[in-house]
Amino acid sequence: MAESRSHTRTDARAATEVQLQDGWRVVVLNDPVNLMSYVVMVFKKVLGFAEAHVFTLQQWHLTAVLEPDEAR
Amino acid sequence: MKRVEVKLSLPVVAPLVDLIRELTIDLERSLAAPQALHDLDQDFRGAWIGELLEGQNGDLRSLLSLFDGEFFTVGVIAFDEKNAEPIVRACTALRLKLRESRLKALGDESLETGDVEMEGLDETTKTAFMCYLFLATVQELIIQHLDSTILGL
Repeated sequence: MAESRSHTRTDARAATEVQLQDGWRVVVLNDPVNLMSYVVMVFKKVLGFAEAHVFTLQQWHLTAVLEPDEAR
Repeated sequence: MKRVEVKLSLPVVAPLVDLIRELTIDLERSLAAPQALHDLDQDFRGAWIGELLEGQNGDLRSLLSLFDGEFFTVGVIAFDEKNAEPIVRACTALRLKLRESRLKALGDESLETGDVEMEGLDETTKTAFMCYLFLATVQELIIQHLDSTILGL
């Protein structure tokens, strides 16, 4: 008598994909009240300038340049 | 410490100071520039706005401290690196509040250019607009003379 057997095989596979979170933009809205000189002062104070970062790096004798961010 | 002293005309500025005091009370519980913070959860949003409000009130207190008893005898206000930054911010808060509450009738374009016929304004609006210009002048003075001190450059 022939013997029959059934086999169950479980093949579990898991994959993890790592993604960078989308970047965030800061949007400052125009308004008719704030003076241009005030806005410029706040931007300088809060955001600084990329040029300043480059300059500081160069002061530390690292080669740094400012170029457009083509990834965006 | 760099210090800028400005002599003001008491009869002109006194009514503006009264208005500044009124506006300061209005601003105790609301932000001059309400922020859209839809992406923050409710607790975080509450804390965020609370901190902004606390800062706004502190700035307004700094501005009002310029107009103490001594001011009403000598008519001089003084800016230095300690009070300049909060005062510049307070001026903006008050200007935003003036636009929203007292100067709606003038329209944004007039406020931006400053091109307003004073003769055609009623007394309340005239005082509000003079206060708006006075606060801008204070900002300009501070930015012009104390900019590098404020920025710490």
